[in-house]
Amino acid sequence: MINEINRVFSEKIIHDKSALFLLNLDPLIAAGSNSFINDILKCGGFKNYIKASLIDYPKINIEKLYLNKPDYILISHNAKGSGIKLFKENLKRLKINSKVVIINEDIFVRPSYRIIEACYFLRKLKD
Amino acid sequence: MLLFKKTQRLTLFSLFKLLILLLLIFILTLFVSLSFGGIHITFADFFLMENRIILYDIRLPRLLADFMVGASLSIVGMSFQTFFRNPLADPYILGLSGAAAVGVVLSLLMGLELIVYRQFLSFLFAICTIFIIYKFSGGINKITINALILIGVGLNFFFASVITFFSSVMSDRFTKNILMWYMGDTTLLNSYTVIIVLLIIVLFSFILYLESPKLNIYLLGDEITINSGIDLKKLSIKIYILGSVVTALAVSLCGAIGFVGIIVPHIVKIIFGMDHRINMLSAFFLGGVFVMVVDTFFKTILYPYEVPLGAITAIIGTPAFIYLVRYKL
Repeated sequence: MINEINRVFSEKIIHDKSALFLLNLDPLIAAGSNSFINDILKCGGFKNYIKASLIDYPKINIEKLYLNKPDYILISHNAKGSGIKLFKENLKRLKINSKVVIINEDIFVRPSYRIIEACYFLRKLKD
Repeated sequence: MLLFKKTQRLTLFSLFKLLILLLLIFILTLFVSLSFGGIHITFADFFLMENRIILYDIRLPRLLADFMVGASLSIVGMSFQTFFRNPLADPYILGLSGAAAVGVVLSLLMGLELIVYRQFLSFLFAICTIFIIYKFSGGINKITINALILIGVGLNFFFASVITFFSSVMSDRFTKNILMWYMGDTTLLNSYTVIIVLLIIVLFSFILYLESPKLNIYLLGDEITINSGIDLKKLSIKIYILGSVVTALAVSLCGAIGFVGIIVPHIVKIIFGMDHRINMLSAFFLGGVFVMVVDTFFKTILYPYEVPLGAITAIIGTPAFIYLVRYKL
């Protein structure tokens, strides 16, 4: 199992798209560069939008999103729509046209064998 | 303070001068804060189309929300400290933040993640609590300050226990959401909501301010208050209801931001003295300006990251408060 994870995570991938991984929408809390989600993003071929951060899961300023728009915004959320709907409306209002993808948080936010699934999901998403 | 010498009789004109001065401080702080908070935008670039979204859709609603929460908690804190004759009194002393938090808990349990529902439920719970406390404190005929404060504190413990119970049995996400709410947040509020609530708060605070001459007499004791022809029960109900509604509005919109409502009134009293006609007005504006400055300062130096507003107001304010208590009292 460990070998399989090592194999998938050491495959060479081009990181040409940026992705912001949001764990919370109100306030906006993202996965930082020290988190294991950062490794999943790299494995999936994405550059983490949050570059160097001392905090693992920083609260981010929406102004930053407006000025430097990520290619993708990945939302880890178990809500069925309303919170995400409002967030999308806010993005539209602020003319942030990044692609918003709601992801299954079970495979992303728990450090388990399923992070391989998360990695393949991201690779497929990028293609 | 230069505007008011201690021996000078306070006139309407000198109060008007103070109001103008405080308004100027607010406007100046608003403009300076608008230019910071991420990238620096100079005053000359304020009207450029490219800065419109940053200035008017992102920064302005947030600054107005900062002002609203700071101003409302400070003026209520000021009136409650006098009303309860207790320097530890703050807008949350009657359990309104706990009640609003239970509203948030309920919205999370029901899966209502839309912010509007959460705000509505927390406001509803806070308002219901105002009436429960009022009713159990004896109602219009038998209400006493001791009964108000004891029932308020009792309910606060009850709400804290409800939140602790749900935090212990629900998921990490649930606990984190409650914690985040307690820390307070003024981001992502839309302009219309903020402006409408701010106008309501200004109106209610003004009505509260009209009671300031009576609070000056109330400071001298119940006997003198009654002998001066003031209806003590009527005054109690007015201060309690107005203060609680203003707190409920601020808390339901921005979360339970602590510190401001207890410390800003003390700082204002140290600077301006005990005349409520001056210090309630000053607490309203300076409390609002304080939150605006603190929020702008931290979001500028930490950009693009942020820290919770409730935590940083105490970090910045406490040293200033200790300095004032130590050297200016």
